[in-house]
Amino acid sequence: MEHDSRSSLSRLAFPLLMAISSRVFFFILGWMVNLVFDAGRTMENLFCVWDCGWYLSIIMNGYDLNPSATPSVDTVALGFDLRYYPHPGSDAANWAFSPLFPLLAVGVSKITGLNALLSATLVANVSFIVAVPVLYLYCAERMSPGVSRWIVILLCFSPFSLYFTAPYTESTYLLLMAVSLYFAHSGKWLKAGLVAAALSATRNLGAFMVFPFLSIAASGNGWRQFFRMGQRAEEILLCLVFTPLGLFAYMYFLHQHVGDALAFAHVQIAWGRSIGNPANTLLAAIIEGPAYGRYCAIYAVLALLFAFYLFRSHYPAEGFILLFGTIIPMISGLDSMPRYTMTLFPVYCTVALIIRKYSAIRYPLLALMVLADGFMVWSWVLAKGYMI
Amino acid sequence: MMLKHLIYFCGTISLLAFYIHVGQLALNPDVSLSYRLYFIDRKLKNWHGHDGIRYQYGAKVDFAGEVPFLSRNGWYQADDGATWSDGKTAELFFQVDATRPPSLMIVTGVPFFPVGKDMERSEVTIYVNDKAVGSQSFDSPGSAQFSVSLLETQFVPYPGLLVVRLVCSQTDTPGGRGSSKDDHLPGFRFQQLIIQ
Repeated sequence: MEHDSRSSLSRLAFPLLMAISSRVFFFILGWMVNLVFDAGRTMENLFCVWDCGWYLSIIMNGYDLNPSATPSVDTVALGFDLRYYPHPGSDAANWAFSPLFPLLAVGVSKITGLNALLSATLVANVSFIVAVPVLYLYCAERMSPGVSRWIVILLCFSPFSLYFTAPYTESTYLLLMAVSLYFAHSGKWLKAGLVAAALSATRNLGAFMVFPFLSIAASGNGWRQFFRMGQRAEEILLCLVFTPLGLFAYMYFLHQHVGDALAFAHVQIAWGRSIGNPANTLLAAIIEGPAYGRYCAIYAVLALLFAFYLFRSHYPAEGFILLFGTIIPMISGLDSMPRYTMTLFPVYCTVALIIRKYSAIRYPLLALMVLADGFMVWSWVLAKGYMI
Repeated sequence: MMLKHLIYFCGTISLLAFYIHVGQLALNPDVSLSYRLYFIDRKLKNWHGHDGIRYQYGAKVDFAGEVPFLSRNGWYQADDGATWSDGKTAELFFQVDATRPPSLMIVTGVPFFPVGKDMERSEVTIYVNDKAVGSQSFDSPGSAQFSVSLLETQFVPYPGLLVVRLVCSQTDTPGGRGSSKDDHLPGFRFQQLIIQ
């Protein structure tokens, strides 16, 4: 027993070390950028840009009752520039942001006495540090320990990994996704469903976890077994029904709060988003879009190609995560597509599976990524628009 | 074993019932008319708060500045004391006293007569809540005032909502005529409007 726990701990040492060291690396990089380029940031608000203000407004004042031009926080006191919130029509509101991440930050703030910004940063970084070992275990069982190690390295030092350090929802989403998949893969369907319910309260996209779950269920028990409705099937069905609970609970809250259960979708008008055919949106961006549109389109295409690769490699659960993680946001436009897609772990599963065959490119790729980290952190700390 | 089956069954049914209930709430939002028209239907040009399109009978709507009643499409920005409609159709949305239907609408404005185009007359047709209530012909480009009767107006689809639609017979783009790079399609230059 003691040997087992010691062995588990030693297995987790590598991903833990990667997760912690990468967070330290990003903080040091951020601070250096701040000093060298005179960004005027404090250690506290180093990574607090763009949507961070909206999350803070939820943590500090709860959900808005009415739309406004800027988040309902003292942006000047927090060292924000109002250009982060270009909503002169006063039609923006924090309803667009799902509740679990800010709720966790409220809890941490109440327990520790830390302010909203530090609590949110703590939640984001601790979530990432816990997520990486869980993901490592899941991927090691699903693929191989060697591939899993590279998934962890790539995820931790990817240029997009800085989003896991910022007080954004990405790292909590990663953690809950990894835990729910781990439970589903281990056949603990009720636990998987409960965690997935929390996932859909973190980002509404979490509701689409029903598809990865279905593919895991089918690969474990077969469809025939599922449709026969044996004991397992009932459990799986309950898990699937649990999955969108977070989203529906948030919708119920929004109806009680502002009278519109779909306020989170309707308020997207403030961000210039509207519902459209994702294929048309993608084609229009590639053919006649502005530079930022094309930049986002590249990542959307890349993510779709990666999803295709995962399906072909018999990893449908990961393929579904990437497929829906790309197509669903694309329905309302391509903005923020690099963040939406490149923070999904199946991207790194794909890259790790590819470089398994081409071991010579592993370390050059890693070196390139670390160089790109510098550029991305510079872009983030200086609040470049393409980082939204 | 039986109890476990029952718990799973009840859990699944309860959750599905909750989702159906929330779905029904989503289909029936309890919001102001301004909110519905701006955020849900995406018909209003700008958001001016929950009372943004509320209108008191008899109040003068001056098109010299920002007007909260304009539709999302069909309008230029206001300039030089008026606002041009843009394209064949432009709409205005008013929230009025639902217990009292309107009687008359008085419009002051300037019809569009493109320079250098041989055009004898310009015509605008007014619809209120999808029903044609009148049309007006102009034979010169000067400022004109006209009125239409709204006595038979019915409040559909929402109580108290008046949707005034202006359809212009003649529009032309200055860009298309080579006189400027402007590719808008001016139709009618609104100066004032009063509903009684």
